[in-house]
Formats: sequence, C-alpha cells, structure tokens
Amino acid sequence: MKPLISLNNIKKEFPMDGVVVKALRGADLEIKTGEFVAIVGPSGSGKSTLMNIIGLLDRPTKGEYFFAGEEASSFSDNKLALIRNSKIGFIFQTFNLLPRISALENVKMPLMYKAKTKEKERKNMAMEKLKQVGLEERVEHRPNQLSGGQQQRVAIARALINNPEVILADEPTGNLDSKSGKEIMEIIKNLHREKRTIIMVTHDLKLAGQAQRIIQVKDGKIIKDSKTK
Amino acid sequence: MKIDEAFQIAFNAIKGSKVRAFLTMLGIIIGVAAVILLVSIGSGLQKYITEQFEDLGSNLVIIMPGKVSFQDEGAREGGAPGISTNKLTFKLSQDLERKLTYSQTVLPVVAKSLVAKYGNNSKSTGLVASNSKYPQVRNSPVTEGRFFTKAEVDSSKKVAVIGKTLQQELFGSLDPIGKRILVSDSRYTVIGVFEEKGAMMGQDMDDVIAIPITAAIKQFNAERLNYIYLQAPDADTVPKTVAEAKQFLLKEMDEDDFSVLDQKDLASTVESILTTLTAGLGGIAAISLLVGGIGIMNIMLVSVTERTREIGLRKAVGATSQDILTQFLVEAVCLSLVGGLIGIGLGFLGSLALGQFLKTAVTGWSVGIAFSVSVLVGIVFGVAPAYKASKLDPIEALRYE
Repeated sequence: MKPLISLNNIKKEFPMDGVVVKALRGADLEIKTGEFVAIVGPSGSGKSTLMNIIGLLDRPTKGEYFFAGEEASSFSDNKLALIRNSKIGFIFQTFNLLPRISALENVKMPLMYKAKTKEKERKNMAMEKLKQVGLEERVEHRPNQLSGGQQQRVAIARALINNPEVILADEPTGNLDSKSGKEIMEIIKNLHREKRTIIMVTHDLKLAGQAQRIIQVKDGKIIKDSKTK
Repeated sequence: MKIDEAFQIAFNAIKGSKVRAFLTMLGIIIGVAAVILLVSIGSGLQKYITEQFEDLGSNLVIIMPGKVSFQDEGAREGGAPGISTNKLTFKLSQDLERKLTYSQTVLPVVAKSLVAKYGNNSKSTGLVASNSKYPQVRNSPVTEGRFFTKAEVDSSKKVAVIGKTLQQELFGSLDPIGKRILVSDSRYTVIGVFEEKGAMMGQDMDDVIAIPITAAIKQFNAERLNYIYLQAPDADTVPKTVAEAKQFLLKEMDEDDFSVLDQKDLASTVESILTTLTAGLGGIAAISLLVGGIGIMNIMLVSVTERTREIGLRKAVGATSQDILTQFLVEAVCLSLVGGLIGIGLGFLGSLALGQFLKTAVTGWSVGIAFSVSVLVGIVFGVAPAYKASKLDPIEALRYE
C-alpha cells in the first residue's frame, strides 16, 4: 500500500532577524493510512514546522512531499486550501474557536469554503459530529460558555466535519486539566479505532506513548522512529 | 464561499460590536445626510426661483446696461447700472418705442432705494420709476385707487402708487389714497395701492413705491435707466423683439454697452448658477464622505489585526485568499452601505424638517449618488485592509497573540 504521507529529504529554512534559521535539515518520513503517530521533541526542534508542512500550511524550501500520492510543491495556494478543507482536520492547543458564534456554527464553518452543500445538510452534518464528541446538548452555546474540554471537543467536531483523511493535532491537551485531557485523548483514540490517520504533536512523552508510533525530532532532524507496544 | 455567506459573517461581525460599528458608520451617515440635505436645499431654491420667474410677467425682454454674459462661464457683469458706462437713457427708450415693430410696450425703469415718510412714520423702501404700462408688464395690478396715467407721466406729475408693506408701515389702518408722502425730499400724492405679491427670492415685493419716471428724472437727476422692459405680444415674437432691439441699440452704442435678454435666458442663467451651487454644496458634503471612508479603513485595519487568529484559522480550514478578501471587503461595504442607508433616511428627515422654513426638494440623483458613493467608499477603503487580511500567512496568523 502506498503511504498517505511521504516526506523525502524535506528542508525548511526561513530568515529571522537577518539570520537564516534551519528549522528542518532533511527529514524523511512515511505515514500510512490509519496510523496513529506522535511527533515529539523539545521546543525549537522543528516539530511544529514539520507539522505545518505535513498539514500543507507551509511549503518546504527543498525536498519532495507526496500527499496521497501527489507531489505537493506544484500545488497552487487555492489547491492547498482545498486539500486542507477536505482532507485534513486540524486540532489546536488553543482550540481556535470563533468567539462570536455558537458551537454549531463553529463546526459548520469549514463547509462554508466548500461548494454545493445545502444549509440543512450542513446543519445535520455538524449535529452528527457534535454528537460524536458528546456535545449534542450544548450546540447553541458560545465558546466562552463552554469549559476547556468542551471547547476542544467542538474543535474536534470541526476537524471531522469534512471526514478528512488525516487529523493533525497540535498539543491537543496542552491547555486542559488532566481529566479533560484524558477525555480528549479517549476521543482521539476512538477516531483512530475508526481507521482515521492521526498525527499528534506533543512534548509529553506519556501522551506520545498512547500512539502506535513515536517520531522524535531534534535540531531539525528525525532522530528516532519507533513503534510502541 | 457564497456572497450571501460573506454578508452573513459581516453582519455578525457588525452585530458583535455595535457601538464601534455605529461610530465607524457615523462619518458616512453624516456625509450622506449632508449631501442629500444640501442638494435638496439647492434644488428647492432652484425650483422656487424658476416658479418665480414665471410670475414675473409674460413674454418679457429685458435690456440691461453693460455686458451681461450668461454663456458658459456663468454670470460676468460689465458696467453696473448707474455708472458712466451705462448708455441707456430715457430718450433712448422713447426712440425704441417709436422704432420697434413687434413690441409696442416699452417700459423704462429707474430703480433706487430711499426713505419714504408720512407724518412720524418712515420706511426705507425700493423706488421703481417707470411709465403707465408698469402694472401690465410687471404683472402688478392695483387694487385700491389707480395707477398713474400716460398724461401724468408726460407731465411729470408727483403721484405715487405704493405696495402693501409700505402702506401698512406708513398709514397703518388709515386710507392712504390722497395722502401726501415724502419721498426722499419731495412730496408725492398717493393715488393707488398694488395688489399683494408676497416675497420673491427673500425680497418683499410689496415694499415698493412706484412714481412716474419723468418725476424721478427731475427729482434725482437720474439720466440713466436701470432696465428697459419690452413686452412682446406673444411667445413667438419674443426672439424677433430681441433681434430688433439689438439691431436698434447697435446703431446707438457698442456691443458691450448693453445686453438684451429674454426670460428664458434669465431663468436658465439663474438655473445654471444654482446647479453649480448645488453641485458645489454636494461636493463639499462629499468630502465628509471621504473622511467617513478613511474612518472605515481605519477600523477595518484594526479589525484585521484583532482577528488575525480568525483569519489564520479560516485559512487553515480551507479559506482561500480570495475568500478572506471577499469577507473583509463585504464587511467594509456593509458598514458603508448601512451607514449610507441611515444617512439617506436622516437626509430625508432633515430636508422635511427644513422644508418648514424654506423650500427643499430631495432629488433622486442625489440619493442615487450618495448611495453609490457610499458603496464605492466601502470598496475603495475596504480594499487595503481586506488585501492585508488575505495575504496573512496562516501559520503566523495562528500563532498571533
């Protein structure tokens, strides 16, 4: 089976205060459909850059990136936006919900950038995803009326709305207390059981232990790629 | 993204910060209201004056001293009446009366302002010295007593016909007919009172005293006429009368020494002046629209900065640069559009309120222009912030604190 994600000698450099920072110095990585992968490393190791490149939010300076068999460097910005919309779901440490609108509206939001979905259908889809994360009772609440754990569940429902092939989670429990963090990890593990591909960035090795595979990044390089038991 | 969704996001954003949105719109509201109000005053004035010209008398041709050019560059007057370049004399008017074939009615006029007295009452008023045809030509019938006759003009009789305002000031409830009043320094007998005319262009048309032109020439040594009115028998002969009068006058003096105008010339002249004035007023008001637009741009730039994370998130979940551009552009247009609509409403109300005191007319074009300008302002001043938003790097934007 072809890997869903394939990085081939990816390098990323960007100027910062007049100095060229080498965030990635040649990363090779393959992730298959249905895998649950944790990317770990200290801050400044390049794991966020790696995540942004995998999530098609950023382009590598050098190297080849195949997403679902296609080389991504030739994609236009609009094509990248389309793939992010339909094939990738993002979960952020800080949830990134829009404060002025309800949970339901937040979950529906990505559908706005996708053609041809009727309003009623959108609502049904969003309701279904909210149910899946156990929030069907609070769909009309605004983010500030929800607890941190509930907000993150809304964000997960939003990430799922287009049935993406990959879920990218950046420190998904970083802003949560341990109880909510556990609940969120349960939801993520359930998504994995549904055969979704999950890539989670964290600096918490205990959390990473819940994944199938741990990729350790340091100084812009992948230093260890190991299976967990 | 569909455009109606962009509008919905925009309305949500506006609803989310009502006070700020209102303050942002205020510039546009004031600008649009000012354009509509000022233009309505200008066109009301225009309408009013056009109506007044129709009341002036029919088929009139007016000869004025000096060059009065109403072509292209508006009004440019040469010699003012009464100064040495004025070559219109009473004798000339008599010659005109004899020579003209189309028009039999020639009305020489000397106009002055002076003080009229009766007993202890005195009033400064407008003197019109003319001949016996004045009531007919100027559409000013006499209701009490009578106007002076040709014989009285020929004999320079010191008789006077007065307007209602002057009558009330000098005589109160007394019957003025037969009373002797002091006009400047000479005594005249009142023989009639004009029918009430009301005000025209802010001037009281009833504050007037008419005396035979011959008497005025003697008393004031007034050689020069302010105007000569000619009345053509019907509308068709007006141009012929104009041509004939010009031809006659050219034999007596230079082209630059006189002007012959008919009512249409005058009306269209005044109208063109007022159109310029109206446009000028509207233009000045439009500057406040510009200022309003800058206000919108300012707030939109602040809004883009504040919502950097939102922009980053939207891009991460699939918004293209065009989607973001559209969203912020629509928001700017919404602000200016809503402001424009409120401004139109206020302009209407203002012009209704002002209509109690002076004539106003809200014109369709001013509403149309105000509306489209406010939309345009939204687009023009919304582009820079929207472009800035659309160019944000999603990674940077998501990291923004």
